[in-house]
Amino acid sequence: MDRSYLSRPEVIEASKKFVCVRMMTYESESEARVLQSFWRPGAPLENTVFIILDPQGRPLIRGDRGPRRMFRDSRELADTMNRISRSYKGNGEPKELPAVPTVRLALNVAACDKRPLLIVVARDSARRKALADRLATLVWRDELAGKLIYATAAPGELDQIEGVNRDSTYLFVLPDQFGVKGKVGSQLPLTATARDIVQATDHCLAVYQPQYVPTPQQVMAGERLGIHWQTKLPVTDPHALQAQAKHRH
Amino acid sequence: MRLSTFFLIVLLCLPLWTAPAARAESPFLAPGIAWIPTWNQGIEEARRTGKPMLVMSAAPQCHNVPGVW
Repeated sequence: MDRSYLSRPEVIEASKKFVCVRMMTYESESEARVLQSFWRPGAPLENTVFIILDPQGRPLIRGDRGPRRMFRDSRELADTMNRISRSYKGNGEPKELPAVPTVRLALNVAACDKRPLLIVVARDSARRKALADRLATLVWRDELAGKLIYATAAPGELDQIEGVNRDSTYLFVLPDQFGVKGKVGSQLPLTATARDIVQATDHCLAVYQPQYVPTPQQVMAGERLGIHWQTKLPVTDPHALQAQAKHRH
Repeated sequence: MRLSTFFLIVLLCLPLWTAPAARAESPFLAPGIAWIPTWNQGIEEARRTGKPMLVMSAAPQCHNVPGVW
């Protein structure tokens, strides 16, 4: 993913006037169909896709592999975003918790982003939904927006996490380098307040020291340790497949 | 109704933002873009808020090694 553009302050500021969606390629059949409709319909789905859409999901600029191929620099991307947003009288923030569908995937995403993961834990789905809705009133505010990755889970789905207490409801997890395991950075009970959650977030951001490893080294280290990620759908990116074939020989 | 169930229902009905005001900004890792991780949630929020959409998709693995976009 093109962090050089998407992590720039001017782009982050402009993104506040957008609904920002980042999907995980090859992890959902329905999303793969959506992505293929935006860029090169009929061609194999590539690892990355980037596009700007109107509020009904119709393209405003043509899709491509990433912003770097479409804009000279991050300033030009931010200017384009600001110009587009002026045409819409959008208001309000999203309502739902931006939860990654599974803990396994959320840990991986958190490791990719080098951010802590906050998991809402409850036994039954109705209670998880109620807690997630409650947390969602907080996560779009400046205190938390863009700082954490989120997921919801039942207690039995936390095998990859080390140090979980039985009565934890809000579980802050620091992912390992590969996002296949994590350890608890902080955990709060059901009675936690907004202040508790913000303080736990700050604590985790302060103590989390992710390794910033260049991609080739990450791949070599992962292969050496036998760490393998099975995608839900087959990888079809021609560049990735070519590189994999070369790598094997 | 058991007291604990009653307490839980009351607690879940209180929005978190009624709690004491939290500190404005973390001095640590700077915030990034606040991403929504699924298409269905994203398009629903865009239609509801009337905001345009910035859409990215990326594979959270390279050569099947996770932890890297």
